Amino acid sequence: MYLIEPFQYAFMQKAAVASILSGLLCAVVGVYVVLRRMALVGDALTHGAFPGMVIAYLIRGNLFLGATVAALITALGIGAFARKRSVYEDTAVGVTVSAMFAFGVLLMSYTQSYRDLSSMLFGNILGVTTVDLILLGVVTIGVIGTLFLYEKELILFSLDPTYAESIGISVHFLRSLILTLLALTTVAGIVVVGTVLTTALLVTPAACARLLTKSFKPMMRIASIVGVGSCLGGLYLSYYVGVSSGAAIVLIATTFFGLAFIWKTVRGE
Amino acid sequence: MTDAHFPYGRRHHVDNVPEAKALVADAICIFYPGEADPVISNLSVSVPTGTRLALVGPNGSGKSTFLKACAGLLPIHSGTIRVYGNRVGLCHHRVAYVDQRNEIEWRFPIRVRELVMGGRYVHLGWFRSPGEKDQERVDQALEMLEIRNLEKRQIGDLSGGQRQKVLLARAFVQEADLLLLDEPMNALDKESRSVFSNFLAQLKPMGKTAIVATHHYEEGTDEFDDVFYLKE
Repeated sequence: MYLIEPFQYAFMQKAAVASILSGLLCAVVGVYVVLRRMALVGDALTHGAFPGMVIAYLIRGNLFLGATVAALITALGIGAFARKRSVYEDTAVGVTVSAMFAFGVLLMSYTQSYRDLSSMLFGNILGVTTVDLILLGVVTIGVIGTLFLYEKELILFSLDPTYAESIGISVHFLRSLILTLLALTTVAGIVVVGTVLTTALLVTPAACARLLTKSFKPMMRIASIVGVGSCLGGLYLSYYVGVSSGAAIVLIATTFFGLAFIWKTVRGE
Repeated sequence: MTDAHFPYGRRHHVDNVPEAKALVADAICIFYPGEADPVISNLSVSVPTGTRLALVGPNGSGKSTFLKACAGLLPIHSGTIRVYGNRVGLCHHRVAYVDQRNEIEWRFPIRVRELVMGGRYVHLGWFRSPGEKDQERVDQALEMLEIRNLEKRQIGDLSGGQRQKVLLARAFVQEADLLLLDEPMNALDKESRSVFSNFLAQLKPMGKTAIVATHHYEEGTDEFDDVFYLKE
């Protein structure tokens, strides 16, 4: 009863579906983020999405769509910067993150409401609408389906880009593909835990899985379980204890990571 | 091929040029971006089919650069390179390039067998998974390089010599006609060295050509048919 009780409310049902979709999507994409060491880029994309949400809010559009468009523009920007090679990638990312975030805050001054700012920064999973859920569902299926279709090339590219290029695979295409999928994924994370904490939803479940297994497919599975489990766990905590769901989700995932780390250390690996 | 096939390069098959040499480089120059002096200037070399050529020269003489250019990974500034009579990059599956091992992310969580299978991808193209024939090719390559016992090992747990053999196995399953090997004998102990010699020896009767950049060339051995010296 304790487990089912919250779901007599429609908003909790929607929140649960959103948690499962986002937790799954962020964990699966997070495996690539961790293995390719793209955490910083992920962070940039979440912050890049922020001004898009504010603009959508100002014109009374869908926040999710606004975030998606802005994250995709940021992804393109990072891709273009990285190709020029006149600045280091982490410098380019650092500049982009702060600029996009500042731009969002600036726009926010026009709304004169910081209550909504808080839901963008820290997520508002209890306020998820049906339209949001449909968009989230489409993005989840689209991104995971694309990763599945291109899996063998993405693995080869992550492992040995030179060989991939030597057999005629366009590494530029794959790099852009990963950035695009990552941009879409960060938006799914933002819906659940907000702009500030999305990087954790991407990185922590995959990092935890990496500690527990040395193989790719099991890493995907473990990360998915940790991601979805943390999202649902955080939702329960926020319902029963009344804490911020985004923070609870991230801290549960971090606890999983901590336990995995201790397990690995105790085993002496 | 009867079923749908989406090769990586724009074209999978080009017409073979009859009696073309495996590789002909004619007066090539290669610059690195922003540098005034070329790494390779006015280099010409012709490698007949079936030759095992040692590419010898001091560090910085451009051995790796030359191999990369032949694999289509670096643009050449002037001159031409022809592979079996065709422009570089027209027929990816006929050329296998084996990098120096340090350019690979060895911590990536996959097994030896999966890495070797990567050599079949050029035949599969986008969206297709390896089939039975591909598995057989991988089995053969693992046997040939005597690493059958390692097939389930994570690549991160391999020694330097084992890593090298795994990469040679991947090049072999590609069924390429021209192999470009960059320092394949570094980090090989004596035993692995003989596995490599054996590998080269088996290429000969198959009519395959190998160009091997190496610090380990010894005159008078029958490992190579010919040697080409690059000057600094």
